[in-house]
Amino acid sequence: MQLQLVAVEVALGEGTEALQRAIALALQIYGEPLRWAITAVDSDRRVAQVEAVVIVAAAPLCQESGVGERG
Amino acid sequence: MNRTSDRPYTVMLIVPTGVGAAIGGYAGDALPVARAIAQVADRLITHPNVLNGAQLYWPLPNALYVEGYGLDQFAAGRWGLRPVHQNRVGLVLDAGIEPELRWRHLQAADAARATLGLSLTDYAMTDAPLGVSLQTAASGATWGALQNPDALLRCVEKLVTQAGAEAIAVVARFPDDAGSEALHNYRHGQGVDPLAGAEAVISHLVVRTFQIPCAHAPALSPLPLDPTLSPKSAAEELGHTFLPCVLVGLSRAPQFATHAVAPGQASCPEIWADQVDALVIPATACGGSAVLSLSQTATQIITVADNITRMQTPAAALGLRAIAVQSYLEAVGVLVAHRAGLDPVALRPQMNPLRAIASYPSWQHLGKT
Repeated sequence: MQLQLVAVEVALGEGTEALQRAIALALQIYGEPLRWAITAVDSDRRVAQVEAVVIVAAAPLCQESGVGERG
Repeated sequence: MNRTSDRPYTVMLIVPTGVGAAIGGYAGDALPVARAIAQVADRLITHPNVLNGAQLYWPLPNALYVEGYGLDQFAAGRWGLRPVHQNRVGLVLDAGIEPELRWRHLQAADAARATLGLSLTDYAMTDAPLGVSLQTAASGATWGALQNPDALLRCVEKLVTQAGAEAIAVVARFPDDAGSEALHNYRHGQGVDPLAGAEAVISHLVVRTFQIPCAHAPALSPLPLDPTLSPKSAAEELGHTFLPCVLVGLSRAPQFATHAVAPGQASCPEIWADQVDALVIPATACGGSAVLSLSQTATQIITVADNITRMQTPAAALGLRAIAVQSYLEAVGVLVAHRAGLDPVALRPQMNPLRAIASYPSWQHLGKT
């Protein structure tokens, strides 16, 4: 497991429920959201700036070509 | 305060951590706000950042100490809160803490047992240093990460399964940075708490994984005396640890109900988000998960302009309906009026007459009977 700080931009859309879903989708690209917040809103462009810490599953060791195997 | 209905008047108070809040961004300096609101509410739901003052704390019998991840789940209606009489608190100590500092924390825990009568399990040390790192994001908010988050979770699992811990106090070794500008500012009641974001990540991880109360106290080397220390930061420089307030808060923190039970079947009444009457939040920090969730309910949101933060998310920008006040004193007044069933407009010198609603198609025109 690793923790990673990410920043994304999400369209404001219509309503807070839709906004929460859009934020969850945007963050899930990076990992499971652990903590997030909208830190700023650009009302002209109708976008929200979001910062988050996500949980990234540890990458499995490669099983081919001996990469990752210990000698 | 006289109860005017059978429904307990429930207020949630949030001061986001690590955003440089002018009130609550330092050493438990939002605790007086919590005390004031607890006087006018039947129940106050708030989080460790508000109630923790390191060596200082205040017993509020009607306050529920709810960690931030749990607060978000509660506000979203996914978890309920189950009040308790006491929790057995398990103490996690980071293997990265040097021996003398570790002893100081164990003595703080023993003092809480002997002098306050708190119930603690045997403690556990992580099998690897947690490796806390601190980050400041572009917004100015502080965040953090762990090099070994799995070591934290293995340790908590041991406390829960082997020692029967019902709540978890984590003490992680944080980097010392005595000469930094961020710490200098913090000690003078300015800037953003450089530790806060990482602390929140630690407790969020435990609550997300084990669904039990958790709070964190950083282990740090003592700082040299500063005669110009801000009163707002002073509570964190009284002793060797930040642990006492965490143990006190966790000792009676509500357990989480991850699914609703049928009325009459719960061993004690549970609290769910639809019972939150009001939410009090800094005016520029309305972009958190809990705020967005409660904005979709009947909860009255009250924003406080005095409590300036580094965030730039006012309620209006997110389309949230809220009552805007200048100060927490004014917020308390709004809560009293709200609880009494009063429109706050009625307490102002000017009141406009009623107006007809805007033009709307008649039912006949729509073909409805």
